[in-house]
Amino acid sequence: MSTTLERNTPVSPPPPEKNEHRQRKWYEYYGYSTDHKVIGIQYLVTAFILYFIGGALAEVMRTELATPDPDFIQPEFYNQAMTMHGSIMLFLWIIPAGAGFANYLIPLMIGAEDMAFPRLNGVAFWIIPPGGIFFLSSFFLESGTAQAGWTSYPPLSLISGTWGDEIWILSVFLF
Amino acid sequence: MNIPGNIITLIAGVAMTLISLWYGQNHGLLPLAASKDAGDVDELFNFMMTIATGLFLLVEGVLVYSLFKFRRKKDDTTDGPPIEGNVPLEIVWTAIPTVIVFILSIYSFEIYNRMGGLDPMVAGDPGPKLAHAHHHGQLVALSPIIDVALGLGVSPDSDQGIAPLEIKVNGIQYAWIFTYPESGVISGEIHVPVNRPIALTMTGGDVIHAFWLPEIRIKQDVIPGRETNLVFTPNKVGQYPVICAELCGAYHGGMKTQLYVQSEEEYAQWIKDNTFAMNDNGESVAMNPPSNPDAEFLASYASDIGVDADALAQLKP
Repeated sequence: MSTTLERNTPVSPPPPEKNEHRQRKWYEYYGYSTDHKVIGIQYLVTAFILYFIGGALAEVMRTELATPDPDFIQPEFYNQAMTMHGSIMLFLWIIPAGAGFANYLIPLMIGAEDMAFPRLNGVAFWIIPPGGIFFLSSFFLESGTAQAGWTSYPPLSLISGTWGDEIWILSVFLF
Repeated sequence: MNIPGNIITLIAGVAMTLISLWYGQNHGLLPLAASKDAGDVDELFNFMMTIATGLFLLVEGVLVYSLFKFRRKKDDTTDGPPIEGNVPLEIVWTAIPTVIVFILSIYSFEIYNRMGGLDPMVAGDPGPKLAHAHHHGQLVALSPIIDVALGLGVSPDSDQGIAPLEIKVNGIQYAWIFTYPESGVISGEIHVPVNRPIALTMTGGDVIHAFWLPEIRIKQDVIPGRETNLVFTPNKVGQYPVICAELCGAYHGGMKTQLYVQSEEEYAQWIKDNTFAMNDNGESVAMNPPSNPDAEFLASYASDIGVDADALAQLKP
């Protein structure tokens, strides 16, 4: 009953588009969408790509640890790989992947037409890819990326890889 | 032969309890225990291990049993019965973890107290060095008289008769510096006599470190600008690792040294060998006689420092 009322109220905007039962073009997945299922897939694919980047960094660390000597990477880069691995896995894999499943499944499970704020939902996803690129771009800094661990405790984060940590904290705000 | 289900459940429960009790004492996961506190910590760990093993066997046992017992029959494509809620069961599985958490928290608090964690004299640290607002009507910061306890103090049931040996610890990027105020010895390794309480006063020189003695079962953050304390009584002679347990920079992994727990005599000898004489200005000077020519003095270390005899011979006083 309440849903019927809501739909008839002129104040609430109509659903942005009829999303159900429509064949999608491939490129629609690369653009701004308000469909919760498209957003869910976008989240999951993006998160999975970043998951592989985080995993590659873990491989770098394990390769270095194969021998006790620092013969594959330098200690500074080891800490950078460790910091970025931890941060990527937390902020760019677990959180977006959770958002992806939630976006895709919960509206279906509770029988809702879409998420509560579809446009905001779409914008929220589109913060992740540029944020991730910004985050990873700090690897190309001369002083390297953040190397104070994913907790980034101040005395250390203020004196090592300063610019990297600057980008790190800005990115974390962004996510 | 048809054994009633409740008998099988009883036998499984008894077996599970026995396995948990045995594994809780025989998991072999802990390093050597070299202090009195270590025994207390291990007791708590073993207790938790017993509970965890029991719960693991219960949950996984029911899961694996159900996998086989309630497997889908061939050609059966129907749904299972729609089960919705079971109040007594839900009360039980909420109550059991609640009771376990209560027991564990009270027990671990007791162990913490026994280790000296509640010692009111610990640190005497006035807290972070913040500016205190004294203007009218402004937010008044906490009075600096309230000491914030950081670390472990003297255990309440320890032998109060023995004065603890005080050692100052300074954590810097990538080394531990130990200063013995009684004798003025400064060392990169920590030597302590066995069976005597050791009181560490620790501070960091640059970034946050953590002073970790796995065999003593204690670990405490070492924070620049603040003091933290640890009191422990080693009871086994030996050589144990000292590890930095807080990422402190590129060479954090190499920030290790050794704890030598020695007999009284050996410790006294070590202090004697390392004592620096005080000169008239109260500055420490090395006891090694400066009259020795460098070459002569260095000869015995030549192989250690990687120079050959020819290089030594070129050293002219």
